[in-house]
Amino acid sequence: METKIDVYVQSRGLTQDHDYRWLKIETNGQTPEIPTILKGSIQADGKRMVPVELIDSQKFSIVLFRLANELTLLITGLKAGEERIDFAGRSIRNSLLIRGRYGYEKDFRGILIRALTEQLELDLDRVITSGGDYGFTVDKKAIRTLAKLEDLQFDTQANHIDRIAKNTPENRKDLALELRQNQLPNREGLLVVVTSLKAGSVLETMGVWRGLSNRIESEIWQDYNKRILPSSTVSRQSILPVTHNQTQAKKGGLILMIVLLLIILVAILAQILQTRSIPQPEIQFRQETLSPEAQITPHEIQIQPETAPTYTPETQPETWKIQTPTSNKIETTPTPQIPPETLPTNDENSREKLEN
Amino acid sequence: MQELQITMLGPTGVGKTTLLTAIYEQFETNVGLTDLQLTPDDESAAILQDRLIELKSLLDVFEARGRQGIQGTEAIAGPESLRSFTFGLGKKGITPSLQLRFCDYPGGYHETKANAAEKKFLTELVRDSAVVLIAIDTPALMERKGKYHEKINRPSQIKDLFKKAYQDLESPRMVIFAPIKCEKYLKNDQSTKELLAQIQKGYDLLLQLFNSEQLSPWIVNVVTPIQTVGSVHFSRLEVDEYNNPRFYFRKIRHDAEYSPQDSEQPLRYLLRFLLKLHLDNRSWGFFNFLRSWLGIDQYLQKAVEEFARGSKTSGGFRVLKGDRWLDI
Repeated sequence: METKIDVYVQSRGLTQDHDYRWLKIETNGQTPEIPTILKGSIQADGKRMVPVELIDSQKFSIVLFRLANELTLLITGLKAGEERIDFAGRSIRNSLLIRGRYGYEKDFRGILIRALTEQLELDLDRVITSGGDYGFTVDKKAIRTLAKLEDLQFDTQANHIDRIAKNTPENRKDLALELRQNQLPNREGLLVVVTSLKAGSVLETMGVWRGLSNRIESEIWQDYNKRILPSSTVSRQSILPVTHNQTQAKKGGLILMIVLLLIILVAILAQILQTRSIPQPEIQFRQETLSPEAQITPHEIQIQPETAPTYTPETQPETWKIQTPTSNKIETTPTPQIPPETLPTNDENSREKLEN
Repeated sequence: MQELQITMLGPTGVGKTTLLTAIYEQFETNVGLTDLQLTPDDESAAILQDRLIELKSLLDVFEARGRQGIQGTEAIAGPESLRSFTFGLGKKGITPSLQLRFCDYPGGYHETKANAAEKKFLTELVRDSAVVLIAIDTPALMERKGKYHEKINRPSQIKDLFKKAYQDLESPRMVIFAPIKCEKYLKNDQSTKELLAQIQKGYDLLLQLFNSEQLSPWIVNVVTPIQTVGSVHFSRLEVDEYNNPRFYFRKIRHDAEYSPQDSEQPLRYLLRFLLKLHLDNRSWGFFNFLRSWLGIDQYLQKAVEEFARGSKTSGGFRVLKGDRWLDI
């Protein structure tokens, strides 16, 4: 994990006077501090939410969201080993929060995959020992290697269709498989939620990209929101199989696509033959106002404007007020205005820009 | 909808969440016998159901490891992020007309390491609650002549908290002493008497505070022992390397199941208290809603009275102070 990623760990000591608390893990020490991002509500992708209200933090839960180009990943309810039992004979839980720029997306994905495949529980427990001023101590070097335990060889663009399903081990594995192959979507808002608490309708309202909840009945992933995307992004989307459940569907889709392409080809040929025999009416395009890209896709594309992400913490407004004064409205007629973040970019270049 | 706040009070590990879970488990069984209906909201039910499953599963490891209690409570983003558990109370078949909000919190807020915000939160929680349930770890109170009572139940810290929270009190409050994990101490009259005597001795400073000139007119004190598991008894005490006592329990039978006893009693006393306030027909600050809640619905009042009259007064149950606030 990059040193530019903030790392927090919550746990407790064995004795009565060492109750649950967050420690911020830095290279020069670890100090008690509640992650400020968890306090109050946030607004992203036009939706207001209180991240911690989405989960029962004492159960295994995940919340991943992107706000102002920063990713925040909260994983809670990871059980400590048998040797760490509190004074009342109760199991101790560990939680992890990491926060950093979208440029470190791969690190976030690595941790997320470890959590979804039930490996993070042991990973995290290994770097926490009893003792110290707050009843537990975190190995600050070892914790930053957790993200590197996953070797992510694939880096395809995310599938942008939003999906929810029942929180089952199989669906968590499905999601891990998808994340091994594909990037997280490059958009603001709530990306992943794994909860014991929320109804599916709530996750849909929040616009979560991948949502798993104990309170959803369907064990099959349900698509609920096919976002309209700029053509440049759509053309770069993954056609890799996403999940076990969807492998067959994907194969079928691929065949269907080939058939469709053949039909289109035949139709174009027929059209060409027809135009040679029928005189064409004169059509005037306003070519002087169109850019080359717009000429390639002469149909109109409209993206609903996304509300600029804003922090509105109730406790520290002066440090939390972040506003991105951009409108994401995209029109190809008369002149396409595509924000830079939706255009295809080289990852290394974008990371450099972010760090500068 | 009108709302009434109830706080589960006690240091970490005494069993606040276990008590709340046992209360939840018996709500339906006991309240369902009357014309009243108590309905948790969806998320409260989801969480408490999870805790209940955990509590029931603990029975399987009692024999082997003597473990007790469900996981400790945490506040993932500070006191403001603490979740309360809400139940709608009303007549069967109609929309609930009163909301009961049960508040649980990390017992660490009593510790010296707790920060100012956590301490302030706790003080306000107690001040704004109509009823406070003090969860008491009974083996710590009773075993070895109460040697570990101060360490585990922290009666002095609790007294200091009430001292701050109940300044300038101008309306009645009910404080319930709820000894839990108390199965062993309710075996017979003698052991029950000892339990009551030990509570009065272990909380003598707090009771003195409640008897002070300023507070005495407003305070109702009741003891309601609750067998939070029902099928396990305290068996032995060991002290670990940190000088912490470890209390071990065993099941009464190998195949004994989770069967809490009397966990609806605090609710019976609460409704008895509310009914009396209503019948007094006076203005009592945040109890003013009672006029509209009970005043216009005689059937609801009758159902509340029927349920409230089931409050026990023997077998370890006792009104220590403020009888007049419960006289219906």
